[in-house]
Amino acid sequence: MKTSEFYELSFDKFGLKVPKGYWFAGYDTWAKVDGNQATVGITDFLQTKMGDVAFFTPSEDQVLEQDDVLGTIESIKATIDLTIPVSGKVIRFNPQLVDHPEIISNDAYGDGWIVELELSDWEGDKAMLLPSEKYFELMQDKVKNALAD
Amino acid sequence: MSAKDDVLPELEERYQLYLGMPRQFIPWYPTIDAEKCIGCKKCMDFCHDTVYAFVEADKKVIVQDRWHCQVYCQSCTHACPKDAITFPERADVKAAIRELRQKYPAY
Repeated sequence: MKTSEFYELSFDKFGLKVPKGYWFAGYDTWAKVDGNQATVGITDFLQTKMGDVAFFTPSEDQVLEQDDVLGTIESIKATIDLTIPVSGKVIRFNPQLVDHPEIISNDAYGDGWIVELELSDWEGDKAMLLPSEKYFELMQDKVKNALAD
Repeated sequence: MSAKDDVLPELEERYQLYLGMPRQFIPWYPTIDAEKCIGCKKCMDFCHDTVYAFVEADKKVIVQDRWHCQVYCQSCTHACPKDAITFPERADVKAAIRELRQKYPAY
C-alpha cells in the first residue's frame, strides 16, 4: 500500500508525517477507507515512541468493534495492546507481519498496515475519529509534550 | 442546566481534552489492587504519563492522576508481574464517549 501526500512537522531533530486522506483515533491507530473496506495501522508517532517492533500478535476475533483490542505489539521498549478505530469483519491481517514485523517501524502508513476489514458501521465510527488535518493539529501539541518528557 | 453543565467550561479550560472532549468525563483509568501490589514500580517504568506514584511509607504504587491515563491504553497491565492492575470494561467507556461526542462534535 502506498501513500502519497503528507502533512509534515518537525521539532528540532524530531520529524513527523501525517498522511492526507486517513482517519485517526485518539489511541494512535489509523484507518484508510475505500468504499466499504478499510485498512488499519498504527501511527508514525506511536511507532516512533515504541522503537523497533519485534512481534505482532493479532486478535483471534474475526469481527471487531471500534475500540476493541486489535492485537498486541511488542517492541524493544514495551508491549502494548492496539485498539481498532473502526468496526467490521476481518478480511486479513497483514501476512508480512508474521516474518517481518519490523515493516511497521519502517512504513507505518504503507506496507506496515496491520489489518483489512469489511466495514460494518462506518458512519457511526467516523463520528469518533479525526480526519488527517484535525489529527495533524492535535499532534503538534502531543509531539511537544512527548519531547518535553 | 445540570451540575455537569455548570462545571464544563471550567473543565475545558483547566484540563486536557480527549479528541475535543473533557478527559475527566471519560471513565478510563487503572485501579491497583493494593493486596497484590509488591511495589516493584514496573508500571511506573512503563507509563510516562505520571499516572502512578510510589508511596514510600507503604512500599506500594498508587494511582496518582488517573486523568493522565491514555484512553484505552492498558499496556501497563503487561508490565505488572502480579496482575494487580485492572481497567473498566471497554464497552462501558465506549458508551460514555459516544454520549459525550453528541455534546462535543469532533469537527
